[in-house]
Amino acid sequence: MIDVEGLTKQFGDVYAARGLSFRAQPGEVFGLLGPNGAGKSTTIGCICGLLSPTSGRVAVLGHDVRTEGVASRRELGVVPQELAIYEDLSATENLRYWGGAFGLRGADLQRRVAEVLEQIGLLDRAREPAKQFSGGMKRRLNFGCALVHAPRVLLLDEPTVGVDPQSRVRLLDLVREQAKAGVTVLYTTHYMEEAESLCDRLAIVDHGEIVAQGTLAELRGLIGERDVLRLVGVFEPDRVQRDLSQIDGVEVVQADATALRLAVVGASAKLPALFAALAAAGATVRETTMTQPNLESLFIKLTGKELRE
Amino acid sequence: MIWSLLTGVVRKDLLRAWSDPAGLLITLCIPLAIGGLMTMATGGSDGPTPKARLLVVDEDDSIVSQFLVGALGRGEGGGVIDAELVEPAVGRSRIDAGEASALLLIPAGFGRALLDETPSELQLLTNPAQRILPGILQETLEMGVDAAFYLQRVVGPQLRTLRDAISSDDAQVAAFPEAEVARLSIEMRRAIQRVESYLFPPAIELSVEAAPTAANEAAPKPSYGLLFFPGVVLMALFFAAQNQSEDLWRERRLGTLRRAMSASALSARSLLFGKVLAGVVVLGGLVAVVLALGAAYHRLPLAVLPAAWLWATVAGGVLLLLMMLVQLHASSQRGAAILSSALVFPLLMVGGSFFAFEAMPSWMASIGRYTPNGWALERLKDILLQRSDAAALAVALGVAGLVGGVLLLVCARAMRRFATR
Repeated sequence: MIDVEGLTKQFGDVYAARGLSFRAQPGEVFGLLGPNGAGKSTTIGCICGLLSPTSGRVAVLGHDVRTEGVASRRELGVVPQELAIYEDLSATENLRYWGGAFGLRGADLQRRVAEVLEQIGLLDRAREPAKQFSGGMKRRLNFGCALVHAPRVLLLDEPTVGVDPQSRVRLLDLVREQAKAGVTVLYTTHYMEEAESLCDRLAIVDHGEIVAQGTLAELRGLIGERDVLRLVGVFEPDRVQRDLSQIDGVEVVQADATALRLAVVGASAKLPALFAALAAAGATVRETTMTQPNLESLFIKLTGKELRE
Repeated sequence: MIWSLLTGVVRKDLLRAWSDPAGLLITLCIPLAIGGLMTMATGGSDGPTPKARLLVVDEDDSIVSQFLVGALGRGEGGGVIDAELVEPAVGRSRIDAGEASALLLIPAGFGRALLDETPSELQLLTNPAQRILPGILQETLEMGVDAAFYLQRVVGPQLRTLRDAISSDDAQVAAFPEAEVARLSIEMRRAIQRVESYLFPPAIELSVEAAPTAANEAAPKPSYGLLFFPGVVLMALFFAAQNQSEDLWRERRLGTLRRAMSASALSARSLLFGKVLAGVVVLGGLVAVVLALGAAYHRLPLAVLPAAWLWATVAGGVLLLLMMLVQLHASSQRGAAILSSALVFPLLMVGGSFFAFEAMPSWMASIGRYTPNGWALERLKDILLQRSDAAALAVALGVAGLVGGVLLLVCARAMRRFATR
């Protein structure tokens, strides 16, 4: 279990994390979803003791990371955002080293190395230097190094950045397997699709603050049972916002000179009225997309910007 | 548990070092190539002591000038000075071509001027391409001139009479009465007797004795190449230590230091200690190879090798910590490379690795002997030349252990900040 209470981390005048509170339970994948610079990696750094929180409390399986740093670090497996493996060593030697760094040795170490090689699908390439691996294989080895000591808490900091689709699927399966085995998984990402498909619960982070948290269903509920309409064209944002807001069941989520994003109850039935209002407001529509509500819509609703900005 | 963690770090670093044999080979080859070339340039293991070639143009051709030239080639100076009389034009062209250490011009009338106590001047043109040998020539010449001056003070009148007699025409020489010769001889003898109580023996005598031992008998007679050899060993150690210490930045770039600090049972101190141990193992292997090659080439007695290996390996460990200290406090890998090179090359230069202390000006050698590598070099030289005993080695190891311990503590303090910043 990971307990984070009122975590604040300040670098000079800048708050990288401001009053974050969440709890990740054993057997669940808890996601931190947010754009780059939102404070996700800072939060991971504070949990694994690399950074000292300015205020607040962080505990891993009940061990306070400040006062019981060694005990908490022994429970953790960390998959960093960048590769952190020895490329001149083989997969086996990498796993042996990281297993040994947690005190594993002898037969236990050998058994775990073999198991992890099997899990990450590198059994047949176990003796090759990692520098000969593809990017996806290196990512899997990077993941395996965090698993070799069978940690009870796993921190994954954007582990799929720059990974090909096939390897990404394999990595996400590995994460699910860990959660199914009872491991507490904290997963940071800025990929909405990953968060939706993987995480049991989520916290949406922006500018170091949690703007919403809950299960996927709970978060979707925040935007309501509404379709999301995305319109591309030429708009006068203020005028369009004023005119469209007068139509019942329509909420303007985002409006600028070239794009509109609307949350609409029963969008199909309201399309004629919407286009009539847009025409009256002097807008030109070139493209229309209608989707079900998702995390991206919620993120835009909560922060006023897209997740990838 | 701690031992298990340490062995893991050591094993990993040794495997990584072994996976890059070219790096190890280059580290070994550079100092061996430099050392080998310098040893060959100075005559190899059996090479003679370097001699100063002095060209002399004697335009005076007097008894005094002949005495001076003769004195330069005898006594203590005779071992290192090879004087050769040449014609003025030949002397000029040969010194211009760099074929000698110096050219001495004795002007006509020098002998007369000396005996008459009138001003005269000797000219010494030195070869700017050489530094040590012209200096030896200059000092020896100054001693010769001083000797001639004191000879003139003691028996000057008698010498002047003799000179006048010899330089006169044959008729007058023939007329030089035997009684006059006898008088001059007696006067010179009395003059010398007056001062001989101060000269023979000298009023102050320095006695240096070395007890003859079996070890001394077996000790290798140091050629220039052998005197230079410990410098080669220290050069190899310094380069290897620099290369090993750079692994801190390689690991930082790989992200493995940060990973170890974020989730493992490894502390910054144990991680550093493991890396130092692995480095010392690599340095020990390097020292073994260099010593084996040196022992074969210089025909060193096998008995000195274990102590030499132990000392050089321990000294290498201290140099490694010194280099790590630089790496840990640099703000970037590039900065660390510049900083460590700026430290290594002057230390190698002054510390006896590029030039043996014996070939340095004494002021520079006395500074160099107190540099870390210079101090280690002197201890190694003592071991190789069998001028050291077990007690001296134990003291040296104790000092090195103390310095290494302090450096280890300072490095450990910087390690965590380095890994996580």
